[in-house]
Amino acid sequence: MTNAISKALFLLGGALFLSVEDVQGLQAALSIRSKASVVDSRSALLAASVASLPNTNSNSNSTSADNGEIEFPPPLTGFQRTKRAIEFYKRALPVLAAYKAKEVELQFRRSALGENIPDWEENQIWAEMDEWGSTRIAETIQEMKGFYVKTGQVISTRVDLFPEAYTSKLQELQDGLEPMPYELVEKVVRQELLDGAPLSELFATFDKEPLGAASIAQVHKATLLDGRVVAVKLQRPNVEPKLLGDVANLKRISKALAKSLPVDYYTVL
Amino acid sequence: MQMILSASCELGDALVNELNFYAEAQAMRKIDLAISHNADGTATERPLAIPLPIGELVSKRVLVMDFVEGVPLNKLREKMLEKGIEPGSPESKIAGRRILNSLALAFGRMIFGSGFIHVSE
Repeated sequence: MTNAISKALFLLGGALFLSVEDVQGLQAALSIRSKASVVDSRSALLAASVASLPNTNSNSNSTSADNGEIEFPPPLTGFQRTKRAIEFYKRALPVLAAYKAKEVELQFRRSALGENIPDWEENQIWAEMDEWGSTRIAETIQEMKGFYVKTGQVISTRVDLFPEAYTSKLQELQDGLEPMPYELVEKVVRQELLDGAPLSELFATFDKEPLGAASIAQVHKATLLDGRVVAVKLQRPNVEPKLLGDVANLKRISKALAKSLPVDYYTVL
Repeated sequence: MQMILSASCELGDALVNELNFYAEAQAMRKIDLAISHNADGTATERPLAIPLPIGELVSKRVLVMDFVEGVPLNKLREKMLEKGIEPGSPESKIAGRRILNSLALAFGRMIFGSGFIHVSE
């Protein structure tokens, strides 16, 4: 069980290698964006070609917004990606360490002190650990967003692999997501579909409350001028750079691991 | 471990596509065509209602589509109870069979007909 959790956390972090590697190249990463752009030059181009809006992304310290017109933040730089990986590990490693410590403690009590720990007591100890650990991990994922949310969702569906505390806590990520405020929704739709013109040029009505909000997009009900009832799905402006950055991190880790794994999985990608 | 890692990388690739609503709009049309045709290419009735994107109202990040009234599968039980259909009753069995039938038909056409498959919630 402990094993399954450490694997999952390891996977979620996906970038310890990256942090080491990128700290060496930190200067380079700071001065040029090209590193991240190589990962997805297409999205860099796209990001550079769209116009801007303030307050979309509170934690993007984008250096490339010098024309002041970028609404959708550009891809994360190597430095930002490293920061994300470090941030995750800073919060996930204590959980891992606590599990390991508990394991060692139990072993010690058994072998050195000759204690006989009954199954029920051990199960209870692990249940408590799971409760505590899953709360911390769910919080971390909630705040970090990006690919971590997606991975968390996948874990939440695998009740066969992970302890119940984890699957149920992560299940909440499935639908308990904070939607974008309506002001932002309106700006995104106007910019993407209307060239900045007001919504009334296209929609007779537009519901302010979303029908649903997920990690990548949310959906609003609306009526077109001709009366057709439609669903408008719109992407969160700050999701793309985080997601692509996390996926890039993940690929790098599997590439780095390729040598130590029996099968070279990176070639499969 | 390796399995989780490679599966996760694959998931990552799929996600990159999820960020492009042009791809999604195209996929909606493909799915609609897939389930409205037999494997030999002849047109037939749709077993499911598929929302379609509306004309030009699609950008990379915004997608306007038909609004289709429906009940999520996980809320089906409550909805049926609301209408007075008890779980396990003959009516609920007929409803269940019809839903399964439609789904099987749709997935059968996607898998054996078009080869383009929609797998999401």
